[in-house]
Amino acid sequence: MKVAYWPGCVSRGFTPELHGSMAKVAPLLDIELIELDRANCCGAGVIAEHNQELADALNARTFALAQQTDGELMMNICSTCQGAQSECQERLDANAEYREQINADLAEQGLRYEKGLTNKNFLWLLVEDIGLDELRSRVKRPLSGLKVGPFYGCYIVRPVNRLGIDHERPRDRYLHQVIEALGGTVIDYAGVYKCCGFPIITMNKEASLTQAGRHLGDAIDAEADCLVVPCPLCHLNLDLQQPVAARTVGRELGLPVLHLPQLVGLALGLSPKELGMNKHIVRPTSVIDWSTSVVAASAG
Amino acid sequence: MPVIRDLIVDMDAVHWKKVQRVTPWLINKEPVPEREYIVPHENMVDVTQTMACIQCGACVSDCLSMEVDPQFIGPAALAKAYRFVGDPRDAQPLERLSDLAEDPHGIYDCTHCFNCIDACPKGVDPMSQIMRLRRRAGSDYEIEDRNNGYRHEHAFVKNIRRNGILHEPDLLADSYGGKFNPNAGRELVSGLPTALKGLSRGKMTPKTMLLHTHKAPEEVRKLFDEIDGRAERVELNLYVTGYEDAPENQPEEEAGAEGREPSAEEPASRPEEGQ
Repeated sequence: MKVAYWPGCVSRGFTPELHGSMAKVAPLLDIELIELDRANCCGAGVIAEHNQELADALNARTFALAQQTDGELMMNICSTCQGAQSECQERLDANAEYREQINADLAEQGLRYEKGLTNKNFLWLLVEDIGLDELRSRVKRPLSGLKVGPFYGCYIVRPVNRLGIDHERPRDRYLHQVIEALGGTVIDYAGVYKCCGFPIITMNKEASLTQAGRHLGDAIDAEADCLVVPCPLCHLNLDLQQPVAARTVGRELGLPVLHLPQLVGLALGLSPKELGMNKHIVRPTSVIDWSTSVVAASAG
Repeated sequence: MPVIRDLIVDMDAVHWKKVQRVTPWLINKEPVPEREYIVPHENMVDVTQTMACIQCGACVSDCLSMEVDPQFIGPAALAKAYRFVGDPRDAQPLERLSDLAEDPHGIYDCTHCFNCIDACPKGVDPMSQIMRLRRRAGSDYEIEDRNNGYRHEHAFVKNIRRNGILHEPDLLADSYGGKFNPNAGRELVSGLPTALKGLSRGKMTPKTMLLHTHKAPEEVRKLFDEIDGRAERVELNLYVTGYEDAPENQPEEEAGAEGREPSAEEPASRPEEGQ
């Protein structure tokens, strides 16, 4: 399937391995990515707290660019983008007069947002459009014995109404389902749906990293081999900042954290290096045999 | 909140203490009118959402920031604070906002985790009220707090205006007041081991650290200048205006206006009352 692809900012900034691994995984799932390289930052909620209309206009611009492509829908690989964009889209879709006002600002650029765009995180697309059976059939190297802790973060599971989570689409269980479809074992622990703390790292570093450190610690106590995240901002606090988080909570951590496309890519037969795992701060050497690329739980 | 027994928690120890912290009463403007204040209806609509709060404390129990920082003022009390900051009759919105912005556990301690929004049985959206407080503090009153809340927000906005997408190396320095600010120096030095590790692993390269490579920065900048340059900020509150697809807003009701929900009558968008 063809999708208008919004990689976000951080996946091309401090977590380049996310954008890179998505590009490697997409062809293995027959996803054709039309990259929205003229689109802009979603504002991550920060622009909305400065000026809500500005955040709505910026995202309407991205949506309009997506609607100009022949993609079936828009896909992102960042939960924060998903959450921030869904919030703006909710306002744009709720009120024709407001939508027209924003479209008047976009008209100068030859752009127009039409109500009703479908914008899905890769996780949602994987389950709803590709399907778990199809995914299972493409697995070349099942993650047998690998104990994976899902870390959903906030923006992709709350608020439930805005994100369309219900019995028909249990999007707050999708990470669990994907881990199982890839042959891994799901580890439930206290932090599955909690906040990584990243949004306040420049305001209250201690509270921010206490959150990250606690969730990592809880996952280790539950005997997870690694975490998987659908959000690069969570990855920044859980991986890049993990050594500092360990000092903040006063315990040893050292838990590898994988981006969702990396976990999928491993099971589809790609090597850890192709998936950019050498770029992580906490190297996943405890779970991956680098010479054979075979996932071996608790090998370290 | 501390459990007293079974499903009974100690509301006094946490919830009510926090609510008292935000001066939860109206501070009259002087001179006090002989009879009631006359306030235009549209100026009060903005605070109706926070007035729907029934003080159940569900958001306080669910707040993920309070879980690690019990001193955080928290969602219920901050929603209450907006009830008075947003009230045109209150005499001290600036003092209230300065107090909440300067508190190291105040408005900038919220992580946007949305837990309070899902916990609230009345649609108060405490987190949205906290964002309103931040908009007032940062954009209307330009309160430069010591928690980097104002600086971070402004650095972020400036960064996207300039680059179209986020350029993290600039954001880090600017969030602490710019590369040459002593605070920034201290923070950057303390973050140096992390940055060096990132560089050594190839997460960041000198190219990505220095170059800004967005393809349409001019278009993005135009939007910023057009919208941010307006005299009045526009804010759409869906709690007030409702949804065009909602059953009560469907065409059948053309016949008579009486008995309609007032929310359907509200203007599509409404400038947030400025200072």
